[in-house]
Amino acid sequence: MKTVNQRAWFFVLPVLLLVAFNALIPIMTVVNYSVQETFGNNLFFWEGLGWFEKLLHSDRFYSALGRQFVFTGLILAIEIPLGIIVALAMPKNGFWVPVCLVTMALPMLIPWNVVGAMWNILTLPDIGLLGYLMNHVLGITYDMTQNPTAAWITIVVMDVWHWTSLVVLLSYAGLVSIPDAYYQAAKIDGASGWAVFRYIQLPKMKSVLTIAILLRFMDSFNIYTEPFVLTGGGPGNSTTLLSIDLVKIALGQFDLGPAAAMSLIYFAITLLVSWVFYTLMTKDD
Amino acid sequence: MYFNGQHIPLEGPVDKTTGLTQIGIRPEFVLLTPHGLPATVRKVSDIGRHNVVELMLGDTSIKAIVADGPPALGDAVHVTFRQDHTRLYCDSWIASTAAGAP
Repeated sequence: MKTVNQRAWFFVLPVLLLVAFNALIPIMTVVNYSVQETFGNNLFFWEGLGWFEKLLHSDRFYSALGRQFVFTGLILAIEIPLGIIVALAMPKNGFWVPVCLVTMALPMLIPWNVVGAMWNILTLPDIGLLGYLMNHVLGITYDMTQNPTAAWITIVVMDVWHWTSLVVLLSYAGLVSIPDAYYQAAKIDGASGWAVFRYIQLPKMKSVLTIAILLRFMDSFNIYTEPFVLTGGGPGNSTTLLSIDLVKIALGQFDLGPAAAMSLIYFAITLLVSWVFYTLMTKDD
Repeated sequence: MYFNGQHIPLEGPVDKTTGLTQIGIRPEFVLLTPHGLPATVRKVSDIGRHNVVELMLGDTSIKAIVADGPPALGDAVHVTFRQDHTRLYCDSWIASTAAGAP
């Protein structure tokens, strides 16, 4: 029989300390703010669950949350199928493989606020390359600074441009790991292209796609920089996503208590959706 | 435009007043003055460069930025809004135009 050596826990201790320092302690300070009202000069008053209650009754929070879900839903509905299609179309071997891979990786290497600034300059109605082309050459009215629909199209297209590559690269990694024997068997059985995709490629890509959806969900649900630089939440409040509203409350209005409560609810939603999704996807494994 | 029954002069003419109307004023243009709208100080946060003072005008909370010598908690004060920066928003879209603007 194997003896259990409890001293092995000491090896976990450094990680525990590190996580405590960079995650647990910071989040506990947020919890601390979320149940108190601060008057500056380290003067705190107990507020209980008051901020949470107010937030869950505020229309402003629900509209920002709604916009956030619409944004995440839209980009997932575009990026996941598009990423799979691009990955299927990529060559499996030869000279063009590294060319494709490097080209795909380029948008992901650009810092987030640079992406926002690039798209802002590209789409400004009178001086941007795309904005000028649409308005003054093609005659299509397109003004993301005034029109909410145009602003939404711009932030969604920007995110698709920035992050579809991630889905492509993950799907491609899943695809190249399928042994040739599967394709040979499919050929012998006379399987159609759709059948090969549905019964060989898609099941083999399931685990990487789960990760791709999870990563894209979390990143897009927590997105701040790109839409903030591009539209600043406007026009009006039409692109004020949850994180943009949160920063407005915390740093614009300096309402630290409500902002802390909102952070925790925000975090809980992200965690809950990710956990439910991951559990559902992996329950058969 | 009227707020809590008090007349608030806006920066200029308003082109529509449908939907949810809100008066928008940045905290740096909310001034503590000897006369004006009566308000109570609810909170003073010293954030270094200046103080963010939260004032209650009836049930509405507004923020003012006060450089030095902020009022104490619970003080009764009076505020005025700098007229050239007092805007009107309808459904979060700006509805007022600055006087003299083209």
